Amino acid sequence: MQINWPEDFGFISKIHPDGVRVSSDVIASYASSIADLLKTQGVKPGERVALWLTDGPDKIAAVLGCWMTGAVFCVLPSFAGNTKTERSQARIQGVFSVLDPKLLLQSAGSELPPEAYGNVSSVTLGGHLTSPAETTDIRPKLAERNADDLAFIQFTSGSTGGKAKGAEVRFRQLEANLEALAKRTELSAKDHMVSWAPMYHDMGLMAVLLAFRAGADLTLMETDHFVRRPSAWLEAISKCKGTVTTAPPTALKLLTRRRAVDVDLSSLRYAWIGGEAVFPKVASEFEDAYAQAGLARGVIQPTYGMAETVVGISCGVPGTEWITRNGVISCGKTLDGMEVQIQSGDGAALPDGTEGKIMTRGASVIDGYLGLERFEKGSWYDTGDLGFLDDGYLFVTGRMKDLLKRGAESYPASLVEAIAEMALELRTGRVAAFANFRADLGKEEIVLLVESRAWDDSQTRVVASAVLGELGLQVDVIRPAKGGRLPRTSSGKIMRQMTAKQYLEGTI
Amino acid sequence: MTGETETWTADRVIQIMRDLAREDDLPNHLVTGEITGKDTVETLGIDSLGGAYLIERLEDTTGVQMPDDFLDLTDDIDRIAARLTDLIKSAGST
Repeated sequence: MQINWPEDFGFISKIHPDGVRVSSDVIASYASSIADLLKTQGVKPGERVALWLTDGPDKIAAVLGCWMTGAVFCVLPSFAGNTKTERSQARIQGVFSVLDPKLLLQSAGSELPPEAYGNVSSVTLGGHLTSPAETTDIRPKLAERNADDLAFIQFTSGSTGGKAKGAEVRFRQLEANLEALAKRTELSAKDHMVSWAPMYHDMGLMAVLLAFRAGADLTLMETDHFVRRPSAWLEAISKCKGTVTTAPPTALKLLTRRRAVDVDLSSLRYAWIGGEAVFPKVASEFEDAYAQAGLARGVIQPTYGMAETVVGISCGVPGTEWITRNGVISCGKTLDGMEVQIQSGDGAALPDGTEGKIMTRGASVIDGYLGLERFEKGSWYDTGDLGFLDDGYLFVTGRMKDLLKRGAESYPASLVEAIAEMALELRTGRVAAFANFRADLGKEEIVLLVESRAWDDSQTRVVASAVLGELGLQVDVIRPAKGGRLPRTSSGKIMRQMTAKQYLEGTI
Repeated sequence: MTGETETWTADRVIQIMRDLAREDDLPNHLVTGEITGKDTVETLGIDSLGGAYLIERLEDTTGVQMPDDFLDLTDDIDRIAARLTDLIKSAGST
């Protein structure tokens, strides 16, 4: 893994709202200490290390420390900390069962509930950064990793046969995606990346790794800090003259409404927007809102990708304005080394302008999920999304996979349904949850329809509260299906896509 | 907008929640569903993103900037109204 080391790193958090700079020598020294710790703990090359660390120097050093020893890191998903119910406990236990880590590294003061990780050995890091006695160049150690070695495991929200899905990312796939993204975004050592995106998310992790790749300066903000005070993100860009950033469209929408004041965004040249559906309304309203703050047209760049392709499949060229077709925003052209084809239901390639399944293949597509099925080498990977191509530009129009997205977090529809069914004491298969793309609102509307002939407000409240309590997810619409019935297959299974279609038509 | 003697009631907060639900930023069931001062943000099904919209609207309505830790999802609406009143008082006295 080739690293172009930045001079220093900036960290912004609740306890350091104005940010602190930590020299790369200190981070390198700390990474070496963590590498030594892993060896002491018996972690061998290829073994996995789970990371449950607060956003900051510890996490960066741990990522590097793992790679120095040849260990494969996994930044645990946010739901790991939620063991309120048996179902949420089972969910994180499922992750640990698949990951089977040799060691868990945690931050002092924000440890995981013990029931989440069971018998896995755990070490708590104290975050004691000290200036090193001598400069440690960790790059030679990092360069020892082979292209086919696993770099990290990234858990997606889905599961197969009840098994958690951890995307296996190898160094060759990571390098391919980093190179393609750096080339497309013209990222260089002159850039300054500002990111608050969580590192368990592909966008957040790649924001960090892209900066490493290019030798760009890096300012990381705790995700919680952004959640508490969203304007802090734009203030950070303004203060450190950030040139590159990443965020989901939800953040743009929020900051269009809750406007940051006295910020200068004239330094920003590329904002990589993704993680959920991007709507033209959201992008254009944000551009209008911050035009006077110096935000130039051609900075906001809708992108498309997923953990199964490391992160990126397509994105725009710096300085070029996004375009729309039929009210759908473009996510740019396919990255170097990647291909996209739009296919019909029976696998036939469709011509430009025709909506179908988005299929992809190329150098960044992973080989498979940890402990689960392998993808056939060189074959098309079904993204589960719908869209069309036009003159090489990709337009994403909808989703076939049963996933709900809000604020770039993904939630399996089946899990939301199970929570609702339990809250209402219904039998399995009486609820359908789906996302409804609302271009007029600039968001994915999350809808939950229930098979029930007797319904009152209290049931809506019970479901809303249960889903929020267990997943932290706000459901936009909760109501009974008209006529009390949901469409089903001949075998009695709920047809989510058909339900969503009928909901759009107003017939259910 | 602001005033040293302005008192916020749960009903005013609820009205703002209903407006936001009508604009599709908060759950649809809050447009007409029963809400009382004893309901918490969490039991109403509002997440942190919805909470951010609520804070934005409260700031816009009161003209007072809310502290970062203003909204706890376990707070009930009576408490939110009381904290708003206190904040407006302190803003008016400074």
